[in-house]
Amino acid sequence: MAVTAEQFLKPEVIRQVSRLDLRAKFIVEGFIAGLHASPFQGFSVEFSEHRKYTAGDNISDVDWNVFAKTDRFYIKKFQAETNLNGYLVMDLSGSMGYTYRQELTKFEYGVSLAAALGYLMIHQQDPVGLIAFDQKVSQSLAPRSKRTQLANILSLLAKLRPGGPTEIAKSLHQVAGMIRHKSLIMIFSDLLADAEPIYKALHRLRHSGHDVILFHILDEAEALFPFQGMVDLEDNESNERLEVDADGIKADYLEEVARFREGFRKECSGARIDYVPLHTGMPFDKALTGYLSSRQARA
Amino acid sequence: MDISLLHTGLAAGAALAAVPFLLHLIMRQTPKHVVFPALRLIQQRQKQAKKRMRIKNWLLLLARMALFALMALALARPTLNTETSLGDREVDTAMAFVVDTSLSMQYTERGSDRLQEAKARAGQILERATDRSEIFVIDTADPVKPAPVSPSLALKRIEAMTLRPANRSLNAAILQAHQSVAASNLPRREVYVLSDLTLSAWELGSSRIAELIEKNDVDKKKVSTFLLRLTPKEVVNVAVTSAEPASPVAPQGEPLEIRAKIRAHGQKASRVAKLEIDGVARGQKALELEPDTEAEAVFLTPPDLAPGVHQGSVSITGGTDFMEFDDVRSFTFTLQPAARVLLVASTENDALFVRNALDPDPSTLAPGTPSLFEVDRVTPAELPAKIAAGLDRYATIFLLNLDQVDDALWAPLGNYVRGGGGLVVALGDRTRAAGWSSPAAAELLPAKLVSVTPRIDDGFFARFDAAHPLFSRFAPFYDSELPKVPVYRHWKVEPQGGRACLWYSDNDPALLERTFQGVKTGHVLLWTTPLARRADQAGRGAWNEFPLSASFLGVMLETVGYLSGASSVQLTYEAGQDVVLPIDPARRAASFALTGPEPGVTDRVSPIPGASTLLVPAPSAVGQWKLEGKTAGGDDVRLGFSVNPPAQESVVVPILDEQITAVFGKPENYHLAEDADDLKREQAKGRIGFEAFPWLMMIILALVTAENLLANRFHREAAPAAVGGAKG
Repeated sequence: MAVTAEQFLKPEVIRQVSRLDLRAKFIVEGFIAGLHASPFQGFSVEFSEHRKYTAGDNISDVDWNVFAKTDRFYIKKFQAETNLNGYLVMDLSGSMGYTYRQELTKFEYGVSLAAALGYLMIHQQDPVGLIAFDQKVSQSLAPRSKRTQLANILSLLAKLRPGGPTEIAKSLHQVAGMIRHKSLIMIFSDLLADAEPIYKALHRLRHSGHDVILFHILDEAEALFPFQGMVDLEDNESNERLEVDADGIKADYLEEVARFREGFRKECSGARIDYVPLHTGMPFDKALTGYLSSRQARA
Repeated sequence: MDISLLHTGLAAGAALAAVPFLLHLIMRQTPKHVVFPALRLIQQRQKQAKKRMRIKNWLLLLARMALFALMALALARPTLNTETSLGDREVDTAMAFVVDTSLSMQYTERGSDRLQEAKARAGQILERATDRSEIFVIDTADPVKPAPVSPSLALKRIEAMTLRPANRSLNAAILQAHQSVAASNLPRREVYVLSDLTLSAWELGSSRIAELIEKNDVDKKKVSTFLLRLTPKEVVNVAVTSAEPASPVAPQGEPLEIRAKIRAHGQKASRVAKLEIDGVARGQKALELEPDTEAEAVFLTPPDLAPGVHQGSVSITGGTDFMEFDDVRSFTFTLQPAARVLLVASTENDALFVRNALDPDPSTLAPGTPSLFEVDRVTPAELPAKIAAGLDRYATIFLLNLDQVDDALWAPLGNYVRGGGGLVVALGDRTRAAGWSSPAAAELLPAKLVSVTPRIDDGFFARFDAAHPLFSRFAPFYDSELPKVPVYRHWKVEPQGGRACLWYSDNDPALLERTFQGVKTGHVLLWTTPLARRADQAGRGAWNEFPLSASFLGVMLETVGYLSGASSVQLTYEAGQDVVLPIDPARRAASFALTGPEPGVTDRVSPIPGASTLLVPAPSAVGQWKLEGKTAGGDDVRLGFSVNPPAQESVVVPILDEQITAVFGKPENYHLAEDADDLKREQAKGRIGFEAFPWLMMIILALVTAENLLANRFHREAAPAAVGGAKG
């Protein structure tokens, strides 16, 4: 059976594509193809440097070619409208390198997603940069909107390797200090650290005037806890081990995860941060839809 | 109590309890190692869950082990025993039968009274006793220490028992039974109490039975007590609860009031109450009785009864009765000429109030109220003449507000008192201290006069000696009345040979007594305030308002009764009480023939030489008793008294279970059996023990259920649940 564009939204399919640039392309194309057949149709226009005409817009800006094709009024976008720097902020903690089903790790999932978003933004001529951190910011790439920037980003993303301990909150504070201009900061992390300091760091980003999208990526196993019987669990960052009865603890664990995510959801909602909870078994369009919703709200 | 097994070998199966433990060890899983970065999320919860799981796992393991052990144990049929594992009649037993022979056991239901029922029950129990069993038979009426007898002889003794009016408490009899069987060396010890278990048969406050049971348990002499309740199902009874003359000693020639109380228990009743005196019917009254109420029948004796002892009874007829002993009640009274009292007073006013108290105008009295005293009033000047005529005919002499008593008169007055007479001296405004201070007066008076107190308006009588015979009968009444009596003035005195029994609010004595021992005890009472009042309260003679007080009448009547000895006379008793009869020192008999209600039985009793009373120790036969003797001069002397069943025997109110438990200390110390089947069950508990098999099976069932629940809960498949999802 031929692989359709939408198939690339599935992590199990995209993992078979080794080149990151292709992954980004396939994800975005699959996403756009999906949008054409979905109630979100119309969003794709956003990617063609147009937006809907609204009262008050200068009538001379109406793109009459588009009007001729679609019988609708669209306005050509101006650089100023899209001149929002984007930062893809990658968590390099050891826990991000985890996968239970040996498919996409949380990091690979995040990188794929970041690549797709980078691809999208570059194609919209939005300047995009990249920051990676573990215990502190370890890699960064200043935002640019040139076509070559995509290659730079994908190249850097492909080189990144998760491992070792992480200081999410401290690193986010560092990011807030680094970025001077108002930007869109997209964070890809499993947030497996003390929540309170992270809340504060997110608030700091918001207070600096940035828009923040938090992609909270857990492994499918971390989200669904598919284990049975007695299991000896080990944290690959701290190397702590715990022997548990999986059946007995499952309900409690899932409740704890829900509480954990609910904590972030509430904090983010309060700070007007977009919080997108994900796990590695979820299709990418969920994440991209989250991004687009956020972009649309800001447009 | 210990545990024995009917099938001991099967108990070895309890070792199977180890099976789940072995399975647990063998089948223990090796946990699978999994890398899991989100460990921190479950660490805290897991600590609690792990602890919980461990407990749950242990619970499950223990439940399974207990299941095996209990099943094995149940098959072995464990029983909780007393001292022997053998279950029945083959065991030699020390048994004590406490048979209640009190009159309430006369209650007849379904053709047999309670005592007959008790005998039948005892027979059923004794039938199953081995020949070598030791049986103690205890009659609640008989305090004699029982000796062990064979079952057949015990049955004969029980069969021969009759109802007895005078009974001990059940506590005393049960104590005796426990002591008897505890001394036996037989392997099993049992006490059977055959009683209607009425409340009146018990001493509720006593803990002696509980203490003895505890002691026997400590001494490894366990005694099982079985109470066989023979209480009637529904008690219907009409009883004469009291029948008494207005006074046991009454003046001859006047009608005497007899009051009887009749009580209906259980249901409405119609009865006729009949009065009989000396075997002759003297009146009857029809009564309609509501359930659980009491009615009074009042009779008057004919005025023409001769002087001397008379015996009568009030009985009820006219209906079916299930308890006959309380259908009649007897009484005895003595008619004699009215006692004479001499009042010596300078004026009529000084004697007026005492006279009215002792010998009131007959027109002011209710018919049948006897005039107990005949009062003479003389002036001090007339006293020598009275002395010359002889003072012995007076029961009491009052000297009221006299200025003095001539020295010559103290000697005859002293002789009168020392011969058993009663002298009352009331001081007042006319009294002069010098007139009462002679040595002769000092030998007789209980106090020396000192001075008169100044008038005060807030003086009253205060405390009194409630144990003194003058006040004891109506002490609660005097307690409320006397402190209300104003006393403005009184004499201050110094006690000499006397003791005070009433005081004023300033703590000075108001009434003092001096006694003189002899063949008959003589008394001198000294009031330090007059026994009269003045209409003019400002006058010099107005010292108190005592004569206007209701207490005045009572104190005066009690005074003469006390001084003459009449108030202490009792001629009607309850069975078991010691009878004490007054005898006239002037007409003594060396011995008396005592005839009781049982025909053909005569006994002889003799008074102690010099004593003024005759003692008949604890007669128990209910009815009229007569004593006949002769003086040294050959004159006949007749005395008499009546014995009634204890009134509480008519009240058939069963003791409550909690009250029994209080007597025995705890519920395990006795077995209460309502009927023969119940007794068998209780005996089975006491003898075979309490077989635990059904209860063990119940526990096993509960354990199986719990084990299933636990296992299902711990090992069920968790429903798949996804957490989180992207927001759209």
